[in-house]
Amino acid sequence: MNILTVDGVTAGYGDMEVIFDITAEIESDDLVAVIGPNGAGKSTLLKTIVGAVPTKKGKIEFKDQEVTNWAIDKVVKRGLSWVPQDDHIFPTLTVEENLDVGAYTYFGDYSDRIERVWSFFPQLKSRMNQVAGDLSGGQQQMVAVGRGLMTEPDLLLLDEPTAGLAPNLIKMMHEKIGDINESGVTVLLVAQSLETFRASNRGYLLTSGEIKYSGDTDELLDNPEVRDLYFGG
Amino acid sequence: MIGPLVNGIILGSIITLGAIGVTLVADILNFFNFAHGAIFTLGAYFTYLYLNILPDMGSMFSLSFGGSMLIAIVLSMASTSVVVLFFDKIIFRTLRQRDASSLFLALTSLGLVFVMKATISMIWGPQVHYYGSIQSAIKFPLGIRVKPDEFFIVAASLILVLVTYLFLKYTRLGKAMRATSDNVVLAQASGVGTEKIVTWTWIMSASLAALGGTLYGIEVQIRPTMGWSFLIPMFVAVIVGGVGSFGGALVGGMIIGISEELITSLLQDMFLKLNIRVVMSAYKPAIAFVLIIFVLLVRPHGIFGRKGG
Amino acid sequence: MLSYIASYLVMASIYGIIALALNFQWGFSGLMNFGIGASYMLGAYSAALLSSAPTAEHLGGFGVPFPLDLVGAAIIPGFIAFLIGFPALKLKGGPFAIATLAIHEIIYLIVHNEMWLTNGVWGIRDISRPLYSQMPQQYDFFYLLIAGGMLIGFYFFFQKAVRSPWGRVIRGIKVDEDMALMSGKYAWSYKMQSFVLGSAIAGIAGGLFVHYTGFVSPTNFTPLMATFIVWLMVMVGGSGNNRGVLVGTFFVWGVWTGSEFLTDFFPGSMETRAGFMRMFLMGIILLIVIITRPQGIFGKEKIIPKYLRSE
Repeated sequence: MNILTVDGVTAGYGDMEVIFDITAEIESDDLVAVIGPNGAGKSTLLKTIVGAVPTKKGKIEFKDQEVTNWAIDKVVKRGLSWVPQDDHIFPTLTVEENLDVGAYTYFGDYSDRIERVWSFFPQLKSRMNQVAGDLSGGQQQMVAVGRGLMTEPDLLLLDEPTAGLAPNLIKMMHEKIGDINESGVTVLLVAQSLETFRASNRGYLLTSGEIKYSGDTDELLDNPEVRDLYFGG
Repeated sequence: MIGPLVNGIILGSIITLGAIGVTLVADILNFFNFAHGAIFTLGAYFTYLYLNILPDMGSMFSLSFGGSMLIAIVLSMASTSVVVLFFDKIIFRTLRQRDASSLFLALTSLGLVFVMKATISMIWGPQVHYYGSIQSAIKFPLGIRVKPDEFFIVAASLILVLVTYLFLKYTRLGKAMRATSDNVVLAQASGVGTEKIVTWTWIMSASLAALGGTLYGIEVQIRPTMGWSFLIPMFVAVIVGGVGSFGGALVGGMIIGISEELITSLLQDMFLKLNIRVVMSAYKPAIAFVLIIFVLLVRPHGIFGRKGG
Repeated sequence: MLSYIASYLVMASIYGIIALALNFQWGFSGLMNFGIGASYMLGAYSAALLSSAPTAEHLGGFGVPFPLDLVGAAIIPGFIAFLIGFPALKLKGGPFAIATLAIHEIIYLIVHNEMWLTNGVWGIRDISRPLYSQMPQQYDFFYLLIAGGMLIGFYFFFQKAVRSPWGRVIRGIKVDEDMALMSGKYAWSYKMQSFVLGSAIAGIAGGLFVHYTGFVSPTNFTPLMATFIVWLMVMVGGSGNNRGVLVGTFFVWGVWTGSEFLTDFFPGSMETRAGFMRMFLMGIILLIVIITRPQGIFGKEKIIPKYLRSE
């Protein structure tokens, strides 16, 4: 069953169009990577799905509901969560307050969700009252992902979740993403590295705003053109 | 020295209430609201209106007013908020949707000043009004003279500032407001609806201004131009304290209030000794302004300002 | 009747000069100057004091004749703008507007309170009016030649200035200060030039004003009458467009004098209310223009978009 369908979507800011005629299907519980060179439009694709970039043509369906050009908060309330690449935390709020805001749409007791974030990222627990803007890049990344988890989303969009992380943290983040996926959250992420791609089930390759290749990651990695173009062989 | 200091604290309390409103709007709605002085004035007049409608409930303690004033203030805060939300709906929301620059919004708010000032003058007339009878001051040691009403002014400001702080710090909506001021898009991506935040920002800003105007009316008088003369001190307090900083607005407000009183008093004494005839009290707003120049030269973002604020 | 029209045209021309100066500062250089009225006021009082005979009522007695005192009317506001520019131009948009507004207030306070300098609220009378004794009946028409002539002169001056290499640099600074390919120091210097020039020219308009009316008092220069109304003229006509600004000026001044005409028909008891109604009208016009046609009558299509969230 498809949790997300992107159908012939062209999108961009103002008069610009950045992605063209994108068609993609994400199945429930899948772990899908979008990969491609810089400027290919990967981030824009995620932003378009969540509603931060206007869709000029085409349709987006989430959980069998058309959400094309819905306001961001409306899409989020439906069960989608997005962790951007930059500007991904609330810098003047503490770590815990970042998580509180992440749970904004939920009126009940969410302390179990907070505990879950602490269990994923123990370093954050000891820093929970620290102002998020004062943390290191890696720690901020963890806060960003943690905030995104607080709604217990059905679909999680992660834009370069390992950017700027030290190698041991990258490995840790991959594991966590796997754990999150296994707990029943569909994940669509933008990846830069081969490792992230390998850790996913399916992939889409984007160049200059268009999808060039798609399929299971194993097949794609076997494809020599793909390996050459995107991973240097 | 002590006398002006005390007066400065009283004045500073009123400026702080206005400054918090200005900084909230500047931070979340992204422009300096030049109509804030007019909102301040409107609040004072609404209180006057309700005070005259409500039955006389005598006076409390040794204040010049009673329970009816408290009720009038609450009603005034609500009414002023309604009027401000109305203006937001028909004017500012349209401009927001068009992505208007902050300068444009500021210019628009200047236009609103004249509309509001004229309306108030037409309804109540240009003459001054008072809430109640004149009070005499209580004498304290060290030559301090404070009117009972003035205790109320400082206390009321303190309480509201505290309530606002607690609201922003600990409530779900308060955190959402702070989050919106940090990063609008991310806040939306957390499910926070921006229009709701905008509404509450205006409500808080207008309510604090209405209280400030009323307190000034209690202390001095009510007149259509009262808010305009507070505009510069309020703005300066925000800039000195750092735009978007709650603590900055508080500190800025108190600094401006105290220095206005102290400096004019000192200069007046000096001029008197030199036999120069100058009425320094007219120049109080100028003091605030000169102060801002010094602060900005040293710390361009204000005392507590964040970069890019 | 005709002299009413001439009078309207004279005042519109004077305001037109200020509006062109403000447009140069705002429309072309991006300076949101809420204190343009202070330059106008300084220029007016400078001319009045410079050209006056010695008197006990106020500072004066320099006896500088018209039009020579217009030089003073330009230099003094220009110089004050230069001094203010040092701290003020360090500020960005909103705070800069506040700073200029504060300057306006302070200068207004000084003129209003310092009797020894300006005769305070009582104003300065008997300011010389060129050739008035020769033609008291046709004075409005004669002065229209002077004021109108200067307006046309300044119009062409600004048109030329904006298209010159110097003007192009200044326009570039407004469009994107960060992208303008020069260091902050140079950008600041150009902004200062623009600020001083605009202030000086607004001052000249002030000088023209006092020699027309023969009398000046602080009430001519309230924030409404000296700053806001000029902004209204610029916004209605279309900021960044000199021709549009002139159209806006004549339109707004027409509405203002027209409304005075209408309110003359009101019974005396409503006289003060009438004044407020006119103030209300001015504010409403600005709001309506901004909501319905923010680019003004002749303006460019785009409003300046707010910076993307890099702030």
